[in-house]
Amino acid sequence: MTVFLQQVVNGLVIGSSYALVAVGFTLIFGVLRIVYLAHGAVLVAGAYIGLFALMWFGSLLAALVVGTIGAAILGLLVEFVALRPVREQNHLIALVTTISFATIVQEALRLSVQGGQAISYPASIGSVLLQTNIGGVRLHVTVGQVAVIVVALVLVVALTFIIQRTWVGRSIRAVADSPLIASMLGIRVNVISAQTVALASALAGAAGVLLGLTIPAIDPYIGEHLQFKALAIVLFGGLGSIPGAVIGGLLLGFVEAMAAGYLATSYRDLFAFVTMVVILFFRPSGLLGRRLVERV
Amino acid sequence: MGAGSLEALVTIQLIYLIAALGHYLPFSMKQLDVGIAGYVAIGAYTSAYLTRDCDVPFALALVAGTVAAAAGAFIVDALATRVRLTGFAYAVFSLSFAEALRIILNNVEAVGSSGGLVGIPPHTTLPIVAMTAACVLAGFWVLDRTRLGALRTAIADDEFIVPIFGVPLTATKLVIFAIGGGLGGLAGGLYSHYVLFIRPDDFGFALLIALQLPMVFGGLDRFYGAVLGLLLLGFIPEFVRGLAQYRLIVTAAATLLVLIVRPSGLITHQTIASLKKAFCRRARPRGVSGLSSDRSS
Repeated sequence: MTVFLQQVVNGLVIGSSYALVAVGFTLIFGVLRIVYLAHGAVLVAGAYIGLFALMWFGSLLAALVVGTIGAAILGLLVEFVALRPVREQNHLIALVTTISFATIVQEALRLSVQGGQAISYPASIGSVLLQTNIGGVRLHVTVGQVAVIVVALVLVVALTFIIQRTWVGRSIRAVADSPLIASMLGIRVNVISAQTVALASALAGAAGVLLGLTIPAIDPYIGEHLQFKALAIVLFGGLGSIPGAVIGGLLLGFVEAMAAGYLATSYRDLFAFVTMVVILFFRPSGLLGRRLVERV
Repeated sequence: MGAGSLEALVTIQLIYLIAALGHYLPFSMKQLDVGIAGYVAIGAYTSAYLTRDCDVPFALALVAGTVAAAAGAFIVDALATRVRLTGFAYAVFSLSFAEALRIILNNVEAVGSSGGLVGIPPHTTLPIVAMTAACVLAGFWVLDRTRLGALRTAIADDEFIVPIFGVPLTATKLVIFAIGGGLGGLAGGLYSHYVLFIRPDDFGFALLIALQLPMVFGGLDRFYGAVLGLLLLGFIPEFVRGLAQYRLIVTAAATLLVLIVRPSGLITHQTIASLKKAFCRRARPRGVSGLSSDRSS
């Protein structure tokens, strides 16, 4: 029972960070309709920027804010350098430019920070251990883990508000429906595209900082696996569906936590890929989404 | 740089070249099959397992690896074609296959799981690799002049017109996919018998990047675009002292730059056409326009 409850808590923590990454990812896919693979690199950059802010200011909040803003700026850079010049090209070109950009970011981090060695967040308020007793069961939770859940919740709610209730959000949804019609109505598709990527990257940056608080150490490559998992979640939830991404993220978090608790750990990462293959095969539109396969 | 390390460098790069040409085939039809790392892994593991544990002769094991990888590619692409995945979905599907295979290999005890497969007998030598690469290149040259090669270009141009001319579209695509996967497997077999130690993580996303970026950099319109890309981004940086550390970042930056300026890569149909035109004009001042305008679109 203790194992079960502890894994539920762990699943909630992992799932929240997955959801945070996947929500931004799904936004980009839904609006831009490209194979975007620079999200993981932006996340890692956010984690590193947050780490430096934490060492500089000594405050968790500052780390979170600086990491988020830094990632958003990097997101804008991705849009300007890797997406905007190749907008009219086919899927492959955007796939390759975003991979190239991601590689540049990762390599720059590897070459500049401690020779690519894994580096841990310093012990701070985030690593304080809370112990709670629920019905006689002793659970271990750190402040950082609580922060992950709370911040993820706040950011997802804020994003939903932006998408549903503001003019930026309305424009984003219009472009997601049809870039052509949206541009006819006077919406500047380039600007919306930049805003979308910046917004999604901000969430990735926050996720990066939160991840740094919860895992033992970060290195330039942690984003890669996370990105694949986010891809699976996005496909599962449906391209462009924020609720789908949240549900998918939490679900994958729970499944992985349970697998880690009861099965061989090394199979844990397989779930994401099996999910992707199964989803693409049987329900290409995802759980809550539109058709993914373009009709001719 | 000693002669030994030079030889190793050339061998490895030639193996990469074979794999890149295998990876090029789906893209020459504008199909986003990015599962090459998986096909290379199938070839590498199959042939290494056969020579190490079953005492199968090297040539036979190499063929077995090639066939297994071709079968793998055939199955993956048959499934993807069956549910009519396109563009984005196709890329994700094939990538998931490769990654899932890597994770499964990481857990199979028979092939050493994540510790890797050790003690593979050394069979691959530079002459063998060079000869294979030459044969593959010649094969591509021939392929461009066969009906299958022409169909490939037709599918790239418009795959919805092709069936109207009575061409079995799916069968043609699958044959080319299988050849591509097979080449990947062949490269894998050569690789495993050269480095003598393979781990599942050798065949991850990094391998895809190492093949994909130079290929797109060189241009997808002709197979020698992929060759040129690999030459410029793979061979040359390896020979420049001190650049090895920055190889990946240089590759990525160069690819990004070329795609921004020239989205179709270095060598395109236009490049070929204009080169031909210039060449013909010099050779025959009266200009034979019929020669220069074919396939110039």
